[in-house]
Amino acid sequence: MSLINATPSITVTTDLIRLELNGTTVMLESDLSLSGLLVVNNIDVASVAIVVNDTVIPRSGWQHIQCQANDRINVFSAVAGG
Amino acid sequence: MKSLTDREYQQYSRTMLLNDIGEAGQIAIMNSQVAIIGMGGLGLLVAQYLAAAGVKHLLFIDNDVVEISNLPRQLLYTPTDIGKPKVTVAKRTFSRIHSDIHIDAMNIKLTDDTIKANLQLITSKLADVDVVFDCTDNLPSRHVINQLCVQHQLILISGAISGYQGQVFCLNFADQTSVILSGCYHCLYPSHTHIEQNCTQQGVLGPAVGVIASMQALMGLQHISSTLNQYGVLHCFNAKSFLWQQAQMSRDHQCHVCKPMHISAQDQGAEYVTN
Ligand SMILES: [Zn+2]
Repeated sequence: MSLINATPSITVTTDLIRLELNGTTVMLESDLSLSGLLVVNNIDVASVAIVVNDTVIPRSGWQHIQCQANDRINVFSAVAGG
Repeated sequence: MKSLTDREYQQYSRTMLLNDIGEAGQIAIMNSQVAIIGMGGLGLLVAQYLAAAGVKHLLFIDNDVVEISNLPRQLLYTPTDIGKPKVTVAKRTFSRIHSDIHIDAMNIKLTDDTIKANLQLITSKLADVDVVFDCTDNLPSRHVINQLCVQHQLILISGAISGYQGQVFCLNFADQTSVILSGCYHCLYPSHTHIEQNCTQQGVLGPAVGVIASMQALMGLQHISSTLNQYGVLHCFNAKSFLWQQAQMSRDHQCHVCKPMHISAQDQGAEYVTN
């Protein structure tokens, strides 16, 4: 962001948090919801289950639950074959 | 049945050597009744393990016929069975291998409509079932089976595999505390869930199917012999890395399938607090 002369330096930054996604460490924006996490990663929201710190999070909560620093998040594709 | 014959003692000795199972557990296994829905790769193997372990009453439900592409992983079917209903072939084969077994076969696909049309029959057949094994190959059937199990307060052991991803879990709908904690299949995968690929599109290796089927049979025998410690745990298996991951399942407080039967107003309040 370019700023004019003497005004205090204002920079728009988004805090990043470190967490584990499917076993890989990633840096993400701190205000990202679980739904947002899927969108950012191009994952179809309707085709997966999400596990946060070893607990399944039901889909109805994904929009309201934010990713936290150090979370261990696993995204599993729904499978129905037999 | 209250005691074992000498021959049965010998036959099931390895099971009974497990201290927590013992003779009482073996007798429970032999007195149990199970329903296996879907007689494909998962269902056949589950049935084989249970019948060999001593389960005498099995209900097979499926409406598929044997296809040539089934043979690499559906090990009891042979080329001469192609085109025949799976439940008919399975009943005949199991009856030949196990002389004292009672097999009930329903050549039907469980859907909302067929359940409505055969409600009395299906209800009576499930009335004394100890465990329902969901071994089907599609999401709509899995939702219907889940709903049946919730309504009849049954034990559901659900297994699924496609490509290199397998999932298996056991839910106890007879235990209200367990339902409040872990929910149901619909809580995990709501109705509008989209399955990206199934076995027909994605393929699968026979032994990978066997891993999930073995887990289902293992959970079933442990439940029946009262030695299962884990209900409501989702086990995910990666057949490429051979890694297992576990997760505690959670009830979706918006789920309409497992709510009306089991969640009283008081429990509902408690649930919101813990969530
Ligand atoms: Zn539910």
